[in-house]
Amino acid sequence: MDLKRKLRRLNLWAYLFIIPALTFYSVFTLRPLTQSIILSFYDWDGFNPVKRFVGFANYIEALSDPVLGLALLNNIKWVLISIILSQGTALLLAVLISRCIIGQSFFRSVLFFPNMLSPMIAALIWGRIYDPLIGFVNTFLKSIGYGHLARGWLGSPEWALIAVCIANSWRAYGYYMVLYLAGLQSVDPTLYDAAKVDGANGWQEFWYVTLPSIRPTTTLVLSLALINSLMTFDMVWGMTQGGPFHRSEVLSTLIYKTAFASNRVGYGCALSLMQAILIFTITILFIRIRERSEG
Amino acid sequence: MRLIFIILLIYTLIALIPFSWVVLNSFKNNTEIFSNPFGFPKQFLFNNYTEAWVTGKLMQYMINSFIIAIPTTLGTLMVSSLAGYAFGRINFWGDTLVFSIFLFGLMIPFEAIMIPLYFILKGLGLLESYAGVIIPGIGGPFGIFLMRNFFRQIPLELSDSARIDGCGEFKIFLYIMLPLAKPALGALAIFSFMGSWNSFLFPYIVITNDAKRPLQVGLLNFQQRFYTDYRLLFAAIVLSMIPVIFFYVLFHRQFIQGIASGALKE
Amino acid sequence: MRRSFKVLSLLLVILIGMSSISSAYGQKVIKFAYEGEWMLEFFKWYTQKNPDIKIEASPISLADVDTGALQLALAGGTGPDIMQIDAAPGRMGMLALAGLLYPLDEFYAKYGWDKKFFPWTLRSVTYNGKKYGLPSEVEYIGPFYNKNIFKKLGLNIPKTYEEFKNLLSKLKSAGYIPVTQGTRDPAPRGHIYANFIEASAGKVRVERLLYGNGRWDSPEFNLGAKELQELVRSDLVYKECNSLKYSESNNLLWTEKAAMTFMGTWILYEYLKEYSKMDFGYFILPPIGKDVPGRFTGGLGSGYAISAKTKYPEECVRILDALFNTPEGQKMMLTVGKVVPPLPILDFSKVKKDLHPLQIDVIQKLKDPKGIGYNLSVYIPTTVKNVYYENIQGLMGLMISPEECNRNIQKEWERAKAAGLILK
Repeated sequence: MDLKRKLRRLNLWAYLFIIPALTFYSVFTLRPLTQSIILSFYDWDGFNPVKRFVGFANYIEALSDPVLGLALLNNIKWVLISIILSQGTALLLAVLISRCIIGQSFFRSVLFFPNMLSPMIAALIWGRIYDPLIGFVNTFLKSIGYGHLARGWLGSPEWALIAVCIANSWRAYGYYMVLYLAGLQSVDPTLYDAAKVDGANGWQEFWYVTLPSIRPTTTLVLSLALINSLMTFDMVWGMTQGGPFHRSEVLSTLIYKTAFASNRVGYGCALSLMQAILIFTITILFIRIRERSEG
Repeated sequence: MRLIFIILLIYTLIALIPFSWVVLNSFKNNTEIFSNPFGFPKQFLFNNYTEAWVTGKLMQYMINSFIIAIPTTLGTLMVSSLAGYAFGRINFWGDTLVFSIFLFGLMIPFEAIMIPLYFILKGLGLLESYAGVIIPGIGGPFGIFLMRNFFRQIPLELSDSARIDGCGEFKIFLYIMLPLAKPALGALAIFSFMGSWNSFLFPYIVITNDAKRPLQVGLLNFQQRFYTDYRLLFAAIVLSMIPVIFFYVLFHRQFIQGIASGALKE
Repeated sequence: MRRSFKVLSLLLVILIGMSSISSAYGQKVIKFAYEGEWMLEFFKWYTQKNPDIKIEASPISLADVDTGALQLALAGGTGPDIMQIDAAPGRMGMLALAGLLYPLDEFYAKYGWDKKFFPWTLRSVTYNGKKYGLPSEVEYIGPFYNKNIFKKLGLNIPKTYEEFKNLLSKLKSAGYIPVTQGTRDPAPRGHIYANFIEASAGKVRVERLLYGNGRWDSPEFNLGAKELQELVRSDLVYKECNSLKYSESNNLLWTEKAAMTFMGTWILYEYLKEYSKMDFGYFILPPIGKDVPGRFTGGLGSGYAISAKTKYPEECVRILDALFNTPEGQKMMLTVGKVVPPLPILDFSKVKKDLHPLQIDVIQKLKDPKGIGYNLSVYIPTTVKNVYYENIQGLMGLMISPEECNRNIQKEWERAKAAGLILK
């Protein structure tokens, strides 16, 4: 009698709802992942029936590859630039839109537009913007008298990564903006009234009322942004393929080149697992830090 | 207030100008695209569009993209709402653990599973088929996360009173919760459709048969190995955006409502 | 209304029935993965002449091999019967070694191909002693220049390297980009680099490297790399070349902002399609090294191969024979596809009038007894090729020294040799 009630309280019937999702996820994400882990201990070209077991050799090779360190550094640079450009823009626009009396719907849709473009198309468009002779950036610089700053952006060792990151931020901010907008909707309006009564101006309102109220949203969005930055691939591949000479190499492009362009599946799997562990670690750390300082 | 408008307008320009440039250039011929990239076309070559449509086989590729994107979206909506409901409203044994396993999936980069996934599809006989692209695209953690958050905010009294009335769990889900979830479903529909429509790498490796390839892959045909026909490429790009925009407009209100009701609140 | 509807649907059923019956009765379906749109015309012509064959054509791109998609399809039996792929160790060679391609030696003998194709073109389709493909088009690579700009500035074809450099300086002073190159894309990097290697080291030394014990970091090779870098440093080769894709670089050419580029003869397709009114030509890069005569570099772009798992090897071979070995097929290659087949042109005098002067020039230059050098990218395995491309981009971006560039390639070359990837 007691057991039956305990079992019912476990609500195991809920698993019936979960099973579809779990099935798809296990078969098409978890299973390949475990196979990837296994493959990372082999040397394989992807279609040869024979695989060669090499133990940890792939991992050791990865750790001693100087390009890996460079790629990691680039990902970190990417994270930092994205926070300013992508997150900053997204939050700013979300706040402004939410304060709009009229035209909210218009701005919401229009500002979301770049996110509707596929990375391939966005890479193509920005490739033209950065064209050394007829691109918008250089033409603009020349027209305001700063022509000496003009250069081939996507071929520049110093600027290639930044240029691609800017292009990606343009494409991506819309997504985060929508998420911030959602968070902003749940801010208690009476807090704003109270702040106005206290005589707070726009900036103070933002810093002392808005930001703390949307803290959970910010944590969520920043975590997503962190994950996406560490995984970034499409725009880099479309614009520079990691060039020139690895200056815009990121983890994902390095992995792609190794596993697929060089037909080294085992090594590629090892690298991508290291990337997955990195993403996981950093993200969990970030969330923990945020939760702890929430007080 | 005016300052806000000005800033928003500036960003609007930044958001729209690059694509408008593509639209502008899609009416020029190849020589003009490079000699006069920012000006108005001397002649509006509307035949760029008809030519892109025909030689680029855009109808074929678009239909393929629809055949892939629509089932993917529907499947994602169904699977995510079911799972999201359970995670969001039912306390069951192991719910935190299983949910964390799903969250973990957000952090797995595609390259980590690409090759084994290919072989799994091969084993299931799903290569060179639409299903091979659709099925792995369903059940993404993001959708579950979204629906769970939304369902969590619906007051408990609603389901409790239904239960007291003797309503079965699945009926509660189907007739009470799901209709309430339209905003979140709208948001998920847009994200899911866009994701599927814009995806390139996965369909590219699963389907090598040109007749079944979706649009993003088909656009490659304009960029052959040693020759890119830019005017056709630009026209094709503009055409490829029409379904996305249309889909967005269709679900726009639910999307906005979904945001407004805090579907993505923590 | 209802009656005509019934009749129509009956007709439809009959038609569908007939078409499926015809395909069940002896029509052989051959899947053909092709590279140029012009091939569709060839398919139409061939299937009209041979109604028992149905060709299912689908376009193929380099990425299909690079991402492994093609290999997986071939291994699984769902791949094409005939495919057009790079006649290179990294592509065709890789498939051949994996046993995915049908060895064609018997057909070469049977159809007389071994006596027809230019001997030097067969090297790229021979792997471990067996022939696995047909060389598709002859291509050579060299400085492709705007004749009008040269005429305007009174410039002549340079006969020595000094003359070449002076010519570049004159172009620069006149406000042109002397040499443009789309090195944001990998292939153009190889095009220019291999030309300079040929000019400084020569065909014999390159052969020693590819098939013997030669080294990438030998003094003659370093000389070529150094000269190339010096030209970039003095902006005689456009110093922002690393930010230009292949097509962006070409457009500098077509809009006459640049005077020349190191280009292969595949450009004929684009040139004849859009810019045939402009006057362009090729000259040979003058030698940099002392004992080197100066040649174009070449190699084969694509070749045709047959799947090892095909059901109809003889039929596939017959299709290819019709393409290369008949006057009609060759005419289509030349006039529609604008490619030059790698064997003597049948009925040349008849076809000549349909060809652009540049095409005739290319065909005639191929008969040059000096021969053609090696476009290295096509002759090295994929792992080396990736390092090769990366380092050349570094070289041209002034990021590494020529010695370092060649040393890095040598290191990867040795690694590939040890792994048995270097084919004889």
